Amino acid sequence: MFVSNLIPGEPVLSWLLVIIAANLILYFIRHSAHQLLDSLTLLVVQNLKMLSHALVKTARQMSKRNREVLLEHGKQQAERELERQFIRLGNLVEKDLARYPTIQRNIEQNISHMEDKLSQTSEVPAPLPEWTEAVESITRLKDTTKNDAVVGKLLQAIYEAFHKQQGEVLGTYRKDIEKRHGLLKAAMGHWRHLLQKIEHLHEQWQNLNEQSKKVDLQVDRFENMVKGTDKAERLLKASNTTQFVISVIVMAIAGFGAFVNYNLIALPMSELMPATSQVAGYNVADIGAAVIIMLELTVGLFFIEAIGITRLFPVIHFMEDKKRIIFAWICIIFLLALCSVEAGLAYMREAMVADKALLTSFLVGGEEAVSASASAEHSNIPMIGQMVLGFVLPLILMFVAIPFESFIHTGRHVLGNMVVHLCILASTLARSFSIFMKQFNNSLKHVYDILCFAPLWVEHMIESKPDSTKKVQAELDRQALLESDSSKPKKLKKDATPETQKEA
Amino acid sequence: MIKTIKIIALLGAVLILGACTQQKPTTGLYLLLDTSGTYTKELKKAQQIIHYYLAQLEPGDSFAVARIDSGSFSETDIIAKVTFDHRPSRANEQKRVFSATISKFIETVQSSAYTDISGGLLLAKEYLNEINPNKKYIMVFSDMQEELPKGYKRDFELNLPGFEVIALNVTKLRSDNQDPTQYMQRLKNWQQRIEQSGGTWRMINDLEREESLAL
Repeated sequence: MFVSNLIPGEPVLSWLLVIIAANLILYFIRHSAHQLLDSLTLLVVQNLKMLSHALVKTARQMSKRNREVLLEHGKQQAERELERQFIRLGNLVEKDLARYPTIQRNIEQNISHMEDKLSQTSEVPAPLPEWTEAVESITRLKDTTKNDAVVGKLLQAIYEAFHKQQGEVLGTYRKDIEKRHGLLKAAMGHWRHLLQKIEHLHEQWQNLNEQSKKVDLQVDRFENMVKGTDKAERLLKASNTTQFVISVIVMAIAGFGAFVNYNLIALPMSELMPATSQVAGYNVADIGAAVIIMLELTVGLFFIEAIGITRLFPVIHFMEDKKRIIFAWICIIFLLALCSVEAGLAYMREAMVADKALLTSFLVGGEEAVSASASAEHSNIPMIGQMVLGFVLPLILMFVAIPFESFIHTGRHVLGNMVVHLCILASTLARSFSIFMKQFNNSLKHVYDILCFAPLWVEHMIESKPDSTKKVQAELDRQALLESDSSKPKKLKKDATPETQKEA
Repeated sequence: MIKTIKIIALLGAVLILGACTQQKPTTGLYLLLDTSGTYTKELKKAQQIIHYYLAQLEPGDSFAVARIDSGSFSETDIIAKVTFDHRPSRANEQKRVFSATISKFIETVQSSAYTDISGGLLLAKEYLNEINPNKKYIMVFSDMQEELPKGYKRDFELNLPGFEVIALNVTKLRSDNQDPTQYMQRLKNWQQRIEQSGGTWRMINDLEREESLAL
C-alpha cells in the first residue's frame, strides 16, 4: 500500500506521518471548512425557512379563503332555508287569509241571526184589555146603586169575564215566554258556531306565530352568517364535515347500484355495438353500457335540478318557471325512455343467457340435451326481476344528485381544510428539518475538530497560559505602546517646527 | 365563434376516439383431421374437441376444420370454416350450423389411403394468413405419420412465424410399439420442422385436461 510505504520499511512511521500531516492540514483549513459547512447549512436552513414561511402564508390564505367559502355556502343554505320558511309562512297566510272573508261573513251572519233572535225575544206583551176602564167607572158608582141587582149581575159578568181574560192572557204570556225560550235555544247553536270559529282562528294565529318564530330564528342565523361570527363558522364546519361524510357514504352506495346496473346491461350491449372493437383496452360494448348509465345519471341530475331540489346549474335554476317545467318534463321523458331501454336490455340479457346455455348443452350433449333442456320448466321470475331492476335502478340512481350536490359543496371546504393541514404539516417538517440541519452542522464541526484534535489541543494550551505570564506580557505591551505614543508627538513637533517657523 | 370552437372540439373528440378504437385481439384456429386408415375411429374425440373450441371461441374469432387425406393442399378438403359475427346471438347460430356440418362429416367420412400433413399445414397457413388474426393456431388431430402418394412433393419450407402448431391425440402405431424410438423420432422431426419454420410446437395427448386445451 502506498501510505505504508511512504517511508520504506517503516509502515508505522509512515502512517504516523500521514496522520500528523492530515491533522495539520485539517487544522490549517479548519476555519475555511467551518465556514463552508456554515454556508451550506445557512443555504439549506434559509431555503427551508422561506419554504416554511411560504407554506404558512399559503395555509393562512387558504384558511381565509376556506372561511369565506364556508360562510358563503352557509349563507346560501340559510337563504334557502329562509326562503323555504317564507314560502311556508306565505302558504299558511294565503291559505288562512283566503278563508278570512268567509269566516268573517259567517261570524257576521251568526251575529245577525243572534240579534234577530234577541230582538224577537224582546217583544212587549199584549196590553191589558180596555174593560178595566169600565170596571173603574163601575167602582165610581154610588153605594146605593152598587146594591142594585143589575149592577151585581154586571159585576158578576165582569168578574167572570175578567177571570176568563186573565186566564187567556196568562196562557198567551206563557206561550210567549216559551217561544222566547225556543228562540234563545236556537241562538245557542249560533253561539257555539261562533265559538268554534273563534277557536279555529286562534289556532291559526298560533300556527302563524310559531312559523314566524322559526323565521326569526332563521333570520338570526342568516344575520350571523352575514356577520361571519365564530359561532356560525363552528356550526358550519361541523355541519359541513358531517354532510360530506354522509354524502360520500350515499354516493358509494349509489356507486354499487351503478355497478349492478352496468352488469345488467353490459352483456346485451354486445348485441347492439360491435363486440370486437375496443377503445383503450375496453370493449366498445362495455363502454356503451357505462355511457348509458352515465347518461341516465346526467338526465336524472338535470331533472332533479329542474324541479328545484338541487342548485348545481344556475342556468337551469334561473330559467323561467314555465320553461323549467317543460325542461323537467323533457328530462323525465328521456329518463323513462332510457329506463325502458334498460328493461329491454335486461330482457335481452336473459334471452342471451338462455341461448348460450342451450348452445352449451347442444355442444355437450347434442340434440337430446337441447330437447331435454327445452322441455324442462323455466321460471320467468328472474327475467321479470331483471326487467324491473333495469327500469327502477336508473330512477333510484337519479336521486344521487342530492348527495352529489352536498359532496360538491362540502368537498370544496373539506379539501381546502385538508390542504391547509398539509401545508401546516409541511411547514412544521421544513422547520424541523432546518433545526436538524443546524444541529447536524454543529455535530459535523465537532467531528471535524475531533479529527484534528492534536493541533487544537496545542492551540488551546497556548491560549490558556497562566494569568501572571499574561499580565506581564500585557504590561510589556502597554509600555511599548506608551513609548511609541510619546515618541510620536516629538516627531511631530520636530516635523512641524520648520513649517511654523516659515509661517512666522 | 364559440359555436365553431365547440364543433371543432366535438369533431376532435370523435377523431381521437376513432383513432383510439382498435380491434379486439382475435383468434384464428385451424383444425386438421386425419382421415387415413384406422384413425377415422378417433374422429369422435375430434368432434368433442371441436365442440369445446366452439364453446370457447368468441365473436370475431375464426375457426376452420379441414381433413387430411391423400392430397390435403386443396380447398375441397375444408369441411367447415367460419368467422364468428360480432353479435353473440348470430355467432351462436353460426356455431350450431358449424357443429351440424362437422357431425354430418364425421358420420359420412371415408378413410383415405395416404396422409398429407404438410399439404394440410400449408393450406392452414394460407387460410390463417388471409384472415390475419392476432393469434394463429393450427391443430393437427393425427398420429403424425405422413404418407404421401407417389409424385407428391412436400419437402418445402413451411414458413410459420407467429403460428403455434399443436399436435392432438398423437396415437402410437403398431410399429411404434415395436420400436418406440420411431414414435419419438417422428415427433422430434415434426418439432424440428415446425420450429425451423419459425413456429412453436406443442403436443397434447391428454384431451380430458381442460387447462392443456386452453388457447
